[in-house]
Amino acid sequence: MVSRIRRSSEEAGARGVAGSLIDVLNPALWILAPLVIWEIAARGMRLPDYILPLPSQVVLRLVADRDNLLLQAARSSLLIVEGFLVGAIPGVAVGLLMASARLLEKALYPLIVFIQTTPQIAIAPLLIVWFGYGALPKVMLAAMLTFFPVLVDSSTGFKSIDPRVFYVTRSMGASRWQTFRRVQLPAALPLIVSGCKISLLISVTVVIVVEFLSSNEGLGYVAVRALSNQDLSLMFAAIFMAIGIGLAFSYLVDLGEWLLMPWVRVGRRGR
Amino acid sequence: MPIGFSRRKLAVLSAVGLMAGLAWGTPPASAADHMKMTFNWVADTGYIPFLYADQLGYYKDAGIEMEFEQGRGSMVTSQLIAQGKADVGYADSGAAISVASKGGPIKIIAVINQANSYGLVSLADSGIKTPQDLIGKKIAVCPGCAQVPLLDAFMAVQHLDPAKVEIQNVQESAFAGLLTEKKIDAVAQDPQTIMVPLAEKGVATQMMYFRDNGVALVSFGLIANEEKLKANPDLYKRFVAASLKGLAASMKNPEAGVDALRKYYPDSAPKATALASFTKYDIPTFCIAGAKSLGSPPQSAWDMSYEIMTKSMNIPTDKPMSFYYTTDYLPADAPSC
Amino acid sequence: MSLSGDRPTARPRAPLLSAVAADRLLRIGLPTLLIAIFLGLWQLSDTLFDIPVYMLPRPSDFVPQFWLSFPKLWHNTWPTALVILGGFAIGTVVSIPLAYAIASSRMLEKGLYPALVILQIAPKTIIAPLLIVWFGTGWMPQLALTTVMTFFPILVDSMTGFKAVDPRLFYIADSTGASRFETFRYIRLPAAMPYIFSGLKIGMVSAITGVMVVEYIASNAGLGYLTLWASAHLDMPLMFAAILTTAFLGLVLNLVLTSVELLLMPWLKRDHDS
Repeated sequence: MVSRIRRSSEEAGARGVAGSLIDVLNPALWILAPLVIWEIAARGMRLPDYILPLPSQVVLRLVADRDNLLLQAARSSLLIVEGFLVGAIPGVAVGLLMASARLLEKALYPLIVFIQTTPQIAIAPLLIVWFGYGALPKVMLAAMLTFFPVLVDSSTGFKSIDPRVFYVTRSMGASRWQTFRRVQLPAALPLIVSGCKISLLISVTVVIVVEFLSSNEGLGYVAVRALSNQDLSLMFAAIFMAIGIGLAFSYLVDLGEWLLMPWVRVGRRGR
Repeated sequence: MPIGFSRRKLAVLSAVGLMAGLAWGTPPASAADHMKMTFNWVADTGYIPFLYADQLGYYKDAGIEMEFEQGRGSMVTSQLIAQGKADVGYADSGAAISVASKGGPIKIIAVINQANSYGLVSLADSGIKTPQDLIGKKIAVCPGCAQVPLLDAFMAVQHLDPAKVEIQNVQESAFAGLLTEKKIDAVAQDPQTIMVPLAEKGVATQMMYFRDNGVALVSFGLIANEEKLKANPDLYKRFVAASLKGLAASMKNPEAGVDALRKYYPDSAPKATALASFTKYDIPTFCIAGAKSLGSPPQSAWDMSYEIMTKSMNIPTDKPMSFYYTTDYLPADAPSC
Repeated sequence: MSLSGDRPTARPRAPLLSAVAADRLLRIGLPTLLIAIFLGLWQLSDTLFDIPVYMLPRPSDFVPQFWLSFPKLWHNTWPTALVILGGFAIGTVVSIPLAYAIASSRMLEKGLYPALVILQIAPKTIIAPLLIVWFGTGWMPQLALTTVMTFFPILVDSMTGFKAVDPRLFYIADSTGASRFETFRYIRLPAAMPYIFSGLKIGMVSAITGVMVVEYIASNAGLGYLTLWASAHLDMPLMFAAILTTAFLGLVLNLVLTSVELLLMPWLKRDHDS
């Protein structure tokens, strides 16, 4: 008890300008370290640029082509968000359904796993032939893959509620919506957000890869075009940009978590 | 699946165009027919004959307004044509025949690349001169790629024991690195993708074409949906004629052809690369030995292709090769070889 | 004399099936029924959904492949299954302690976690082929790549689990004089278990998709390799048979996982009705 109080006051003291500086330097160091190793190793091995470019070359290219990359990044981002939402919202809904009825879960869950593990190689061409080379197949594919993590985490989240809580809500005359909004959703929120973190990042990867394999715009398209021109610097620049977007989305979800679940901020640290 | 609105619209417009043309005795300048063309891949030298034809106004003179669409795989393009989602496609004959053999209503109406350019690329100093030199060597091929059955057929024709040749399945983006780092002796690839870029970086490579070693397959061609062909045969005849004119023109003036490619698709390969690719590797395939004209390979090529496709590519033998292609849409005055 | 006549009080009739048997019947029977319906709809997809055979082969085309090409399918299931299990196992062993470390340390969370996010988002399908030059095409790079693709969902969910423990439980731990290890073993770990298992379920599916990607990049055996081989030879029935075998493999592995879950957390068996 005493030790924990001391630790939390230490943490409180570390806030302020110095604290914010550390908050930025900390991840920066973890991220820059592999890049530095890459740069040194590549220079040392005198790698030709068609095998692996130098991070410095990639960054220069990123800056030089930033207009086009940002435009394509905006296009990819839109799809990432769309794919995520189209997958996540049904994921929460079906998760709630599955948590409410054991029977449904036993029946549906294996089928969902069965469909999820069917390799997308089979489905992608179908989607393209039906919906063309535009946005829809990409959004659908991303949605299909983001659905599952949100579903599983939501389901676990909703199942974790002590059933006795419902005696209380029923005796107080709460409507179904009220029960959902005020009891079920908040209780399941940590896991739902967890699922969303996983899913959003999956959406990023899926959209970029699908654009790489079958699209005529977006960051993935820039990458495949660059690759076919043996322009690896541009390809990695596009990938770096995609990673940047993913990180930004990750921080956004963290922000959302911080806003939506104030009760998690307190008392997190323990042994 | 019904073709839908576009087919009726096309029929109406072509009827109007035809009547106007008949009245004036010249192809109509207004009321042009619209045609959507889907390619097999993103913009590369394969587009040159058509973009050049468009730039020189050949399609306009034939009363056709062209819309070009980039593709991602001959199989998907063939399926798109079978579903009527585009008017004409540029795709590999093998993929088109595969779709047709399963009931896809498509026909090959002209062959642009009468022989395919696939083969085994190795470093110039690797000492691999004949197929027999491959024994004990490592070959890389990409899993799921078109080269897989070709390599099988090649090894069968050349009597190479698969047990004595090590085949690695790796994604093609790894090929350049594996070859130059000498982790692999040869890669099954087409020359444009690997030889030209490596040559620019100063790495000399050599090519052992499958077509020179018993596996000559008819390659990319124009494919169209049977119903659309029946609805407007004249449109397709005009299209093929204009396309072959563009093909001949690009052979005479490759640089202008490459300029057209770069104008329509600025992010395609740089001019020097595209020019080297086009002149060294594309042009030789437009006319092969025994062909009478552009667009029509000799019967021997069809026969050999049929044999390889039925043996190694799962094409059923219930229909002859002549079922899958037609020379009806080739112009009588097609540019000769 | 009872109102119901001379008969003595009736004994409650024995149920047709014991509770356990009924549960098992439902758990296996229902999904099988649904999958059968799914396949049935697929078979009629030509007439129902206007999907021609040359776009999507029907079950009647590829189901015979299951015994026609059984040796090929069987032979290729093992390399894939091994890599899935290996990647999943290593991913689990690595991510759970790592999750605990990150959940306990603010510095690690702000520093290491973003780096791990980057590792997750970096599109391996695009980057990995370039690295084949050094890492080669053997089973070790395959395993490493699968592990990288599996560990993130397990990590995130485990992190949530470790952070979600009710702090009052720590007062109890303190007052009973529990050591750090005992607190972890008896309070933190069980409390985080449901979250960890949630992550494991997602991780299992990620492992399977991961192995497919890995085999697409470089492979000489496996179900993904077989799928691509069949696709290259334009053999759609075999291709779909391989795809479905992969799906069945996923189903089996998932069943094993849920069984382990019930074993370790028997209190989850009760129903939740809202």
